[in-house]
This record gives sequence, C-alpha cells and structure tokens, in this order.
Amino acid sequence: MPAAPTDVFVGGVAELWQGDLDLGRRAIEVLAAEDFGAGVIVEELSYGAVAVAQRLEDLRPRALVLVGAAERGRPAGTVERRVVGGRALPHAEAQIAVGDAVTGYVSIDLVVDVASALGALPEDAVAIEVEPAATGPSEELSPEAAAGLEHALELVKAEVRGRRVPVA
Amino acid sequence: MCFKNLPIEFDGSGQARLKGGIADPYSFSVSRPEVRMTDAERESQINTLIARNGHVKDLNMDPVTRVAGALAVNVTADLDSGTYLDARSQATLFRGYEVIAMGRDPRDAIFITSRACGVCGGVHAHASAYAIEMAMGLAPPPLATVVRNMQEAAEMGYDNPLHLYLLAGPDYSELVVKAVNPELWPLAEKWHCPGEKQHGFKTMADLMSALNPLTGELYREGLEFTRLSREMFVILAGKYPHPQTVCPGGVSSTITLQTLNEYHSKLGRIFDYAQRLLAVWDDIPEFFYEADERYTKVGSRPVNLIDSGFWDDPYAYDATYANCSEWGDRRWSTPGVVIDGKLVTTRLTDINIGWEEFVEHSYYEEWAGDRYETDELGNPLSPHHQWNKRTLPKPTGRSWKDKYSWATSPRWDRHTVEAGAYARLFTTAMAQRRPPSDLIESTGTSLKMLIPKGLIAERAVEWTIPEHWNAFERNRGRAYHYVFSQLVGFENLLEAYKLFRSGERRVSAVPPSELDKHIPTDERRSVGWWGAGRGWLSHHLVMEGGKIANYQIVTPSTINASPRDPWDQPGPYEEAVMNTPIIEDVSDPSKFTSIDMLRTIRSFDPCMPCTTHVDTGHGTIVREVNTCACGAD
Repeated sequence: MPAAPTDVFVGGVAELWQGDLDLGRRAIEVLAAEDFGAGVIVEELSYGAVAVAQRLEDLRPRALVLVGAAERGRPAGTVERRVVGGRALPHAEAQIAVGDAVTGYVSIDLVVDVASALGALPEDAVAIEVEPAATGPSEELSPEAAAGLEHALELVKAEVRGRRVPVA
Repeated sequence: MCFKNLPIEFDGSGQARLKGGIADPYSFSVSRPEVRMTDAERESQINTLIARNGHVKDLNMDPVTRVAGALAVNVTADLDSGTYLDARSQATLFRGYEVIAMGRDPRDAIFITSRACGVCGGVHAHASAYAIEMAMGLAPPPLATVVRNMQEAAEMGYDNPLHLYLLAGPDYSELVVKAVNPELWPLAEKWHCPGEKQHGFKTMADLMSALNPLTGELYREGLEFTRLSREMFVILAGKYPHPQTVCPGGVSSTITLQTLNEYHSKLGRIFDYAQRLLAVWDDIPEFFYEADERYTKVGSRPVNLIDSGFWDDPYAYDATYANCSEWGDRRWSTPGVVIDGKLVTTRLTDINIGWEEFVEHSYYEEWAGDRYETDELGNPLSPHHQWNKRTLPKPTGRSWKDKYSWATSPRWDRHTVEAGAYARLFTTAMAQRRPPSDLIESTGTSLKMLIPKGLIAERAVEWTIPEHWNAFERNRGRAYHYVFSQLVGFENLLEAYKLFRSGERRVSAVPPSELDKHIPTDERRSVGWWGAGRGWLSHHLVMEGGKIANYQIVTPSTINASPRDPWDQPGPYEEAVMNTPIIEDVSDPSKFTSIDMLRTIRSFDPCMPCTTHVDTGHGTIVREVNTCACGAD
C-alpha cells in the first residue's frame, strides 16, 4: 500500500547535549507524542544536510516546519518565525553550503541552504528558531531557552494545524 | 624493529620492553625525532626574506568551511618565488563528547559519539561498540561481524563519493579551472581522456564540465550514489547516520534473506558506477601532471601513514586485546604504519604502544601521572598514550609559539603520520597478509581488484603505490578505496549467504536485554580500532565500577589537522601546505585564491566536527577569520 502523501514535515535540528543547541531534539521528543494525524511526519534532522535533502526529496512534503536553536545575536530566548522557503542562493554560496555539510556540520541554515541548492526545499517552509543563551556542552537548557522551547512548541503546533489538509 | 625514536626493543618472543639504563625514556630530550627545520630556523628564514623583498604575505584562509569556520590555516606565502614558507593549522571549534561520556554507562558512548558529526555517525558507533565489547569480553558471532562489515562497506560507499564529487571535485571543475587556472582550459579541450570508454568523456574539458558544482553530471551522479549506499546501510542497521542497532557483542537488527537480497540488488548497481568513478580519478592526475610537472608537488609530504585496519575476519576476531595482532592480521585491510614509504609494522600492539598525543601547541593542560606503564600484555606505554591521557581544556589566546589549536598532536614513534582511506591501500598492498580472495590481491607494491559484472562486463583494475605522494594521489587513492570497500561488502554478503545456508543466524553474543549482566565492575581497559571514510578511527576506553572512567577518541582529522608537536614537527596539513608550490597566476595579488593550498587541504577529506570534541565549559569559539586577510598575524 503506498504511503500517505506528506502534508507537513516537522524537523528538529540540534547538536546533542551542546546546551541550548540541543533544543531541536528536545522539541521533536515532545512533538512526536502529539497526535497530528495522517500526513504529518515528525523527525529529528540532526545529521548531514545532504542526507536531509535526500530525505525531503523522498517525501516531497507540501510544507516543512523546522525547529531548533540558531545564534543570530538576538536576546537569549527570543523565539522567531522565519519564512525560509522559496529562496535561491547564488550558485557559489550554495556550493559552499554543500561543502560545509559534507564536512560534518549540522545547523538549520545548512538544512535550508543545501535543500534549496539541491531542489528539495518546499516552497512553503518556515523555521521556528530560539536564540540560545548557552552553547557549551551541557545536558540542560538554559532558563531562557527552556522558556523559548515552550513558546516554540506552540508555534510549531500552530504551523502544523494551519497547514493540515482536513480529512474528508 | 619498528621503533626508531621511542626506546623500545623486543625480546626473542616478540615482547616489547623499554631499553635499559634510560632514566626518563619518554622525555622529549631523550626520544627525539630528526627534525629538518625548527620553528626558530623557519622564522629566521622568513625574516631574511622579508628584509629582502616585499612579496612575503601572511594570509589567513578558511579552506574547509565558511559557515561554521572550524579550521583556519594561517600561511606565510612568498608570492615572488611561489612558495609557502610557513603554515599553521588551527582548529577553532570544540565540543565536549569525550567529557560528556565520563561517568556514564559505557553503552551510552555508542549513541553519544555517533552524534559528534553529521556524516560519520556509523563509524563512531561501531568503534565505540568494539571498545566496549573488548572491555566486556563479548565476542560477536560470525554473522554479526559480517553484518558490521557490510554496514561499514556501505558507509564508505556513502562517504567516498561525497568527498570526491561534492567537496574535492569542484576544485577541478570547469568553473574553478577557468577562473583560477585559465591557462589549463585550452589544454583540457585538446586532452583526450584515456578513460573515455569507462566514464564517457572524450576530453578533459568535458570531464571538468561534468564536475561543475550542483549542475555537473558527475556531481549529480555522485550525490545519487551516496543515497544508494546510505540506503544499503539503512537496510541492515535501520537508520543512518545515527544507528541504534550497533551494540557490544554484535548487532540488534533482524537480518533475513530478504535483507541480504535487497543489499545485493543495490550493490550490483555500484559496480558499474565504480568503473566510471575510477576512470575519472585516474585521468585527472594524469592531465595535471602532463600540463605542469609542478602539480606533482601540490600537497606532497613524506609517505608516513597509519591505519588500524578495517573489516574483521568473522572467524578470527575474538574481541580480545591479547589476540589483537592475530585478528588484526586477518582484517580485510591490514593494520600498519608506513614510515618514509616503508611498512614498519602491521601488529596492532606495536601500533598501540607507539601512539602518543601531545598538547604543547593545543588549548589543553598536560596531565600528570602515569596511570598505566604497560598494556595488559606487559608492553610499555607512554605517559602520553590515550589510556593515560586526560582531557584538561585550557583556552588561551592564540600564539604560534605556544598554543594555537583545539586539535591535539597525535604522533606514532614521534613521527608525523597521516590518516586517510588510502592508507589502507598502502598497508594492505605492502603487507600481503590479507586472506586469499577471488576479487582482491595484494602484490607487495599494488592491490589488484576485480570489479564484478553489473550491467557492463567485469573489469580488472590495479592500484599501484604512487611515485609521488600528493593531493592528486590522495584523491585517486580514495577512488580505489571506494572500489576496495565495495568488494569487501560483496565478499561479506557472500559470507552472510553462506552462514544463512549453514543455519547460523545469531547476530549478537548475548541478547541486548541481557547486556546489563555482562557489564564488568572491575577496572578494564580496551580500545575500538575501526575506520572512517577519512581514515584511522580509535576509541580508547577505561571503565571502572561499570562506568566510563576515561574515553579518548582519535579521528582522522585530529591526526591530519594537528598542530606542531614538542619538536616543532608540523602536522600533516601544515607540512603538505609548506611543500605546495603556488602555481596559480599571482601577477595580481588581489586575485590570489590560494587554490593550490585549497586542493591540498581538501585532498585529506577534512571532517572538522570530529576533530575538536573537547569541552572547556566556556561556550562556542567563533572563528576569527573568514576570508583572506593579508597582513594579519
């Protein structure tokens, strides 16, 4: 029996036990227990962005919702929704992103840039980002990131529910 | 006698011991390597040149990654004479996985270490399982070893094309060559490829166009074949790159005939592709050497290589340290150390006791005390050995004379050695110890391989120890390693079928649910010697009270990106860059791209998240330089 088409793919991007950078994995642990219904896939995407792009090519989701921490110089704990779909990097920058991914790095930006470069990023793609306060090795989230995680989870749920195709 | 610098000798039975009458055998002044040039002499030479001409420039390059910025290479270049006078490899990012592992259940290390990197997850999981099962005394049943070998052949099938086409390949593409070596393009248009029959490109220019990033035919094809190999891994292990089925004493996956058949069907497609890949990476060096002989010097360094061997004989591997040199000899790729082009040992015990890690130029403190003076067989161990090493981070400012990198300096017998997938070709070819096979033959100077029939006819190929050791031969060697690894996968698949036919289906020494009972509470030392797509990988483990008391990982990029050692010997990247001629046109210094250095560094297949894995507790180090910064310190 063919698999149900994927309406929404929710992906967490994280670095294991690197303090607040682990937020994406923690988010997915919570979201995986949610009953979003058929057509919604929740997965951790904390691995090489080339392989992530191939996963997206396999599933061809209608929408992608990424969640994780990203350092952008905002106040710690800031939660931001960024529209990341529909953008095309210049050729040279795209290859640089692929090179970074091949070198082993994992980040939301690499997932977006490499998936975009390889033609696997859905037009409808958003990233729910939390600004980290602590990025050194630690199993705990900082209080700012822990609060940001709660807010981010609500945003992700709203993104998913807003995109689900109602079952007839 | 394999040791030249360390004062170790062997008795008649082959037991190693320290030479008598030496008060401090491991001191830096007693056991000294021969050093061609000290840093003081190098600095004096540079100062003389600066006084004489104005063409000497200091450049900071970020040759691997420009987003995360984990590796910076500071070079001093004399653009007039076309030489790199000095090079410093600086790892600027760090993690804490060794420290995070401390005090945990040893099995956690499998999952923790596999997440150190986005592309090397499988190899770390395996190396960790090997270390743990040695400590636990659990020997996997034959089918478990065969399945692990198949998994890791598939992981090489993922890793090698990823590097060749997505990281190194673009440096030889039409886009880059036209931009930085425009004099080569007319030659490429006229140069007929000897490998046309295999790869289908009539001229080198056609081939270079196919290497263009994102759009080139070879680039896209390489990308697609990484997917195929990843799927082969997933068939067996359920998940990639962070498998959860690798466990001490075997694997926890369910292996059926259908599993094996699915693996087989995908492997068949790879054989035809392998013929094409080899021809591409055979033709590229020949074109460049013919175009300009100086390319034989790009990335050159002495043939000093190390590898711990890869893929075990399912009937020889018993997970003991006591027998490691015996089962190591039976590995598909033979363990070994090559110094100045000569194979000096294949014994894993020699490889282990000659291994030291120095931190004189790294952001760590020296550790005190020799916890272990010998291994369990009585062979002497250095205070700088991984079982004695402690990870004591100490971030300070950058100083070329003092500390400048988060990478450490692993050395064997105090020689600077290099790691790489290609090291396996050297050791296996030279040793002639690998078990007989219809598909792979070691001749002493080459590896002969028979690529089985896919849609096209079978083809006999031969990798020969190269006359020059340089960036081009690293890439060529990696291509042959791709073939080698896929043949290992095929031979193990056939062994799996044989075991199935004989009714042998066990894939773990004990059921995973019973592993708890086998965790020892006394003190144990062990090591997982395995391989990565980038070369050597070792996990050294000390357990006490059933918990991890020390965990030390040495990755290929730790070795290759290492800074100077206590005797001013440069690390492999540093040395290879200093030996690289500047061939690109530098008549307009503002357009200098340092492509020759970039080709050098990328030929090592750098993997930086694996390199810098130690905690300081002070947060992420952000790179200092992200582009050419002429005149910077």
